[in-house]
Amino acid sequence: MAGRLLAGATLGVLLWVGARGAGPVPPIGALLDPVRGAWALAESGQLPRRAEGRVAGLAHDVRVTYDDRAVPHIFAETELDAYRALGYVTARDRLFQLDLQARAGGGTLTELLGPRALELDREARELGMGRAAERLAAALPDTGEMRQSLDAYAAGVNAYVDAMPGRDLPLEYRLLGRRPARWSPVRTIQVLLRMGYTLTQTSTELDVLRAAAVVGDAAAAALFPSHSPIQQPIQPSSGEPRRIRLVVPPPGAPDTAAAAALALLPRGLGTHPGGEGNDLGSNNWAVAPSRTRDHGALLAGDPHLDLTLPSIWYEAHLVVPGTLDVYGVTIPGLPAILLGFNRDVAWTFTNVEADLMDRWVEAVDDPVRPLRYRLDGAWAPVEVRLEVYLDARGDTLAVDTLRFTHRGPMRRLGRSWLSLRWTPLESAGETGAFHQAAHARTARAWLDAMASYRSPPQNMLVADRAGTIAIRSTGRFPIRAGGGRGDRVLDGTTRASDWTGDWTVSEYPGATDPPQGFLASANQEPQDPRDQPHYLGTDWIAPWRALRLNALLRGDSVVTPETMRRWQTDPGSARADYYVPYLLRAAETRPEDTLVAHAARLLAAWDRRYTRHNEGAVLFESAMRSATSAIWDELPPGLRPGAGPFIALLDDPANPWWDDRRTRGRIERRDDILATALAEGYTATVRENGPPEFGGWVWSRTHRIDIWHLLRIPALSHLDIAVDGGPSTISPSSTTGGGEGASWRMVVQLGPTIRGWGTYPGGQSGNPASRRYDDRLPLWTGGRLAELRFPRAPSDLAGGAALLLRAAP
Amino acid sequence: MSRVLRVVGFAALVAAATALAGWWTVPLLAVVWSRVVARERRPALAGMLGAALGWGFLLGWAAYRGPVELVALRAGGVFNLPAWGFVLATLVFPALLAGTAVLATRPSPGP
Repeated sequence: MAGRLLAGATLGVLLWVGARGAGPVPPIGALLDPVRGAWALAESGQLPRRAEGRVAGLAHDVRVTYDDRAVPHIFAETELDAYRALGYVTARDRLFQLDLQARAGGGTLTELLGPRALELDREARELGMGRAAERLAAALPDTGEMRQSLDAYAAGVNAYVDAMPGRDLPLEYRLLGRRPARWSPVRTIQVLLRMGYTLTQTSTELDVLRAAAVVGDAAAAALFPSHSPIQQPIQPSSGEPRRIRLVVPPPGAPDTAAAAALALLPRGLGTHPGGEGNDLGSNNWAVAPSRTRDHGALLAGDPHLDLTLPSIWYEAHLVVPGTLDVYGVTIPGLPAILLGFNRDVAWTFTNVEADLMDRWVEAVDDPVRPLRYRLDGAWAPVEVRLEVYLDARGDTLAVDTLRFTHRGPMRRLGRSWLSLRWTPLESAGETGAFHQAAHARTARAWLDAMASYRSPPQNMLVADRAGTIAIRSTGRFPIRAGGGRGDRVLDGTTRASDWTGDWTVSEYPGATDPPQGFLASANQEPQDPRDQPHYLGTDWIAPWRALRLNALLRGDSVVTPETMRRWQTDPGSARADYYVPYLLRAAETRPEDTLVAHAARLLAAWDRRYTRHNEGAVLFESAMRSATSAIWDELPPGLRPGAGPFIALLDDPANPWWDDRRTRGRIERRDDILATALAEGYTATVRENGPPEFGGWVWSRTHRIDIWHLLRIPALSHLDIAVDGGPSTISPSSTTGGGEGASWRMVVQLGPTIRGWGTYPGGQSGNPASRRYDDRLPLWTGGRLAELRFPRAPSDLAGGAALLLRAAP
Repeated sequence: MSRVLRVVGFAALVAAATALAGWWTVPLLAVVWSRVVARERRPALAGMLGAALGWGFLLGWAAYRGPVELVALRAGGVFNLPAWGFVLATLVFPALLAGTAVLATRPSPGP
C-alpha cells in the first residue's frame, strides 16, 4: 500500500512538473517531448527544400529563395508584398528576438520575463519610451507609406505566428513557458526607440554635476570638453590632424550646490561609463576610383554594437522587378534594409554621438506629487500617466505614476524635478527614408532621399557606380536657446531655455568627392569647431581610429576590396603611437630605477599592435590603467573622463591634476606619474601573468570577449573568444568579459557591376538547434568575409531552399 | 506473444500516442497496458522499458530529420546537463511516468 501511495505521489509530481514546471524548471513534459518539444527544433532549424505560407493582404505570390548562407532573397511584385514577406521570414528565423527587442523598447519585458525585468522596464518607461511609441504610432497617417509598410510587415510576422505549429515554438519560449505576442506597427516603433536608447543616451550634464561636486565647476566643465583636442573630423578640413588647445583648470573647491544635488540623484543616474581607452564605436570609409586598383569606388563599414546571439542584424535581399533591388542587413522588427547596397549605390553608417538629450530643472507646485510646473510666470499642467507593469499571467506587478512637462518625462531629484527632452521620442518616420533611399541610382539621390531621416543621427557614407563618394552626418540635431549648449542642466521655468529649432540639412557636416580621394568616419567629432554652426555635442570619442584609418588610406593609392577587408581588423593603434613616447620619455627621467628601465625596454620593443599573439599590449594597457587611475584620483569611482582631458594634460606637465593625493608633502608632475605607472603596470602584469619570458603576456590570454545569448544563458552563448584588436584599434573590442565589437562587416566594390562581401558574428537563425545559429562565427573571428550573392532572379539560386508565400484566403 | 514483443508493442503504442497527442498519454497508456499484462512479472519495469524505447524511437526519427546533437548540447546546457544527460533525461522521463503509473494503479493481488 505504501509503495502504491509513493508511486502515486511520484506520478503526481511528474505530471505536475511535466505540465506546469516548478520554480526555474520549465514544463519538462512539453520540453522533452520528442515530437513537439525541444527536439523538434532540430527539424525546424533546417530550411525546408520547399515550403508554402499564407499571408493576409498579399497582392501577388512572393517567392523566397534562400542561398547557401541562409539569406532570404525575396522576389515580390510590389514593395508592400516584399515587406510582408520580410516580416514572415524574419519571424521564422528570429521570432523570440523580435518580441524581446520590442518589449525592451516599450518597457513590457516583465510580461515575458517576469519581475526580474521590472527595473529594465521602469527605466524604459521613465525615459518616456512606452508613451512615445503609443503616441507616434497613433500619429501615423492611415494612408501614409510608413503606416502601410508597418502594417504589411506586421501582417507578415503575424501570418507566421498564427500558422506556427507548436513544435516550431522557439526554445526561449519553451524555457519561459510563454507564447509570442502578435506584431503591430507600435512594436516596430518600440524597436526604433530601443535603437535610439542604445545609440543616443547621454548624461553629460549629470556627469558634469558629479564632477563639479568634488572639483568645482570650472574643472568639471573641462573634463567633458565640447571639442576633441585632436581634430581629425569626418568632414575633411586641413587633411593633417589639428591640435586644439584645451586648458584643464586645477581641481577646485567642491561646488556645494552640485554636491547637494548629487546627493539626491537616484543611484546609477549619470554614471559615466567611459574613461580613456574605453571608447568603442563604428567605422566606415570609402575610396574614390582614383585611388582604387580597379578604378571603381570602394566602400566599407563595420558598426560596433553589443554582440549578441542571435545577432542584432538579419541579412536579406528584396527584389521588386523594375522598382527595387536592395541587399543588406535589417534589424528584426524594421521593414527596411538599413545598411547595404542596390545595383548602383552602397551605404553604411556610424553613429554621430551627438548630444540629443537635455534636462531642465522644473519649479513645481508640490515636491512629492506635482500637478503643475512654472512656465513663463504662470502654472502649466503636468501630464500624469499611470504605468502598469504586468507579469506573464496579466497580474499587476507594479504601478508607477509618471509625469510629463511639455518637454518630456520628469524625474524626481530629491525635492526637485528634472524634465528631459530626447529626440528619439519625437521621431518615427525612419523606415520611410530607407524605403526611398533604396531606389536611388546615385549617391546624390540617396542623400536627398535620406534627408528626412531623423533619429538616431548617423554618419551616412554612400558611394555609387559612377564613382561618387559622399558622407553626411544626418539626423535631427536640436539648436539650443541663445546658441547654448546641452551639457548643462537648464532652467525649466522659462520657454526661453527650450530648443529653438533644428539644424537644417544644409548645415549637416558632410563632404562629397573630396580632393583627398577618400572619406572616413569613426564616431569622431564630425566637423572642425571652426566650421560648426551650432553646438553639436560634447565629450567626443577620441579620434584614434579615425587617425589610423586616415593614415592607412593616405598610404595606399591602389586600394582593393581585399585591402579594405584587411583594414577592418587592422591591429595598429594610433592611441599607442601617441602615448608610448610620453611613457618612454618619463622613464628616461628615472634612469636609476631598474624596474622602470626594464619596463621601458619592453615597451620600446613593442610593435604597438594588438594581435592575438602580441606580448607587448598587456604591459601598455596595464600602465595606462595605472596612469589614468592616478591622474583622476580626485574624482569619485566610476566617473572617468574620456581621452580629451588626458591628452590635454600630457602637454601640461605641471598641472596639479598630476599630483598624487596619497603622497603628502610631495607634488608629482607628469613624468613622475607616468614613470610610476609604467613600473606599476609592469608589476601588476607580472603578478597577474607571470614574467614576460614565460609566455603569459600573450594578448589573447588576457583579452577575450563574450557573445551572450539575449537571455544571457551561457549554454546558448559563445564566451571567452580570442579576437584581434584592443582599445581604440580600428576593430576595437571591449575589455575582457565585454561583449562589444563589429556587429556587421561589409565591403562593397562599385564597378561595372556591384559586388559585396560581409559577415556578422552569429548566424541567420535564432534557433540554437540550427547550424545557422552561429555558423558565421569562425569567419568573423578570423577577420574574413563571405561574398554576398546578389541574384537578379530566383533561378540564379537554383538548388536553394524555397518558400512560396500566397495570399491568405 | 513473448514478453519482448509485448514491450516492443507497448513502445510502438507510446510512440504513436506521443506523436498524435502528446507526452501526457504515456501514463494513460501505461495504466491500460498494465491491465492487459496484469499477470506478468514486473509489469512496471516492462512499462518503463517500453516507454523509454518508444521515446527512443521518436528521438531517432528526430535525428533523421535534423541535428539533434545540437539540441542535446544547447538545451542540455541550459540545465547544466551534458548532451548525453539531456538524451538520458528524455528517456528516463517517460520511463518514470509509465513505471509510476503502473505501480500506482496495478490491481491488488487476489485473495
